[in-house]
Amino acid sequence: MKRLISLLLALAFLQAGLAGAEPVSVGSVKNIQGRVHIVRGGETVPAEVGSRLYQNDTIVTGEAGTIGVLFKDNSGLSMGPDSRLQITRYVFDPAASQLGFVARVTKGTMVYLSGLIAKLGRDSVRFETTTAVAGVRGTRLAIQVQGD
Amino acid sequence: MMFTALGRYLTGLCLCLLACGLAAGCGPKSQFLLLPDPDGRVGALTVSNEKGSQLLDKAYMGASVDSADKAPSPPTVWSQDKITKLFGPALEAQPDPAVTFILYFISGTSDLTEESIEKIPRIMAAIRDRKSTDLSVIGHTDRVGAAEMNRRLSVNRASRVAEILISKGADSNSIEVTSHGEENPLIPTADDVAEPKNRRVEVTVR
Repeated sequence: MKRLISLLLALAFLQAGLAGAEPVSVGSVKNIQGRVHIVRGGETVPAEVGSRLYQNDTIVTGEAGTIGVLFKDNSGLSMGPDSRLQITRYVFDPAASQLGFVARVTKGTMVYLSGLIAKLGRDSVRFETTTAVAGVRGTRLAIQVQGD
Repeated sequence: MMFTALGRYLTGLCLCLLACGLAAGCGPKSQFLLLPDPDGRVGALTVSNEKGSQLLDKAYMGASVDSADKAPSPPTVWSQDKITKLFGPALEAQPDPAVTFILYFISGTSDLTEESIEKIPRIMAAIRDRKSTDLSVIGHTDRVGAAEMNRRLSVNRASRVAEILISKGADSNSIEVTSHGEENPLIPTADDVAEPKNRRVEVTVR
């Protein structure tokens, strides 16, 4: 009986947690140079050191802009000037074996140092460009895409 | 004034279309490069599209893809000069890697070992030095006992560590507390094996 009650309590708690769920941040901005902004749900917000990032965010750097980001799985991403990258999927829940990072690079340069998602999940990190897909088994890589 | 701007735009558009018609590598072209990590380890990368696939598995190997309907080029080893020219600013902007501290517990409890209590000041120093606004506190257990019980134990361990950090001055808004139960061992073992190194909380300062 005791067990049943605690199970019910746990379920209620879980549900409350889901109902009031705020979007979970996937990482934060560690360094910025020049002008960098984030496109989030059609709105443009300036990126600053300490800014949180979310799934579906697009990071856009200006002519002299660069940015460094650390994600929750301890992977690191940096972008050079005049670049554009969307975090199309970011799932990091090792306890539930839910792991995935997919980013779409449409312009410019970026460097990525893989973290726990690549380490724990096979074929779970992917970078898509307009002409190909890079499957990452680790650890550090760079991608350049010529904009149109 | 308006017409001149429009005219210039149209001329530009025509030139672009002309150039596209003539040049083989028209439109977006992508280049991919595998780099060693800061410890010198080299991973691997596959570059693929509908027309083909290439494996990059040696340091500084790069491949390019001219268009979505052309296969990726066979990989070549790039010179440092080429790498710096193309990726200099992006390489400069790489963030300092996260630092992780591992705290251990007395078996079956959420009480820290003596040695681990002594590590707390070093964690606080790292938070201050990096002006960190992003900390993870992740609880783990070994595989002794049922998975569900271990899940609860890992939650308690993580909460206890978060409380200690907040009491020493860490900002509670910067801390994310999660737990992996027995799912993410430091040292993989069979079920029901006692492994003190898996009985832990990992504090990551980003």
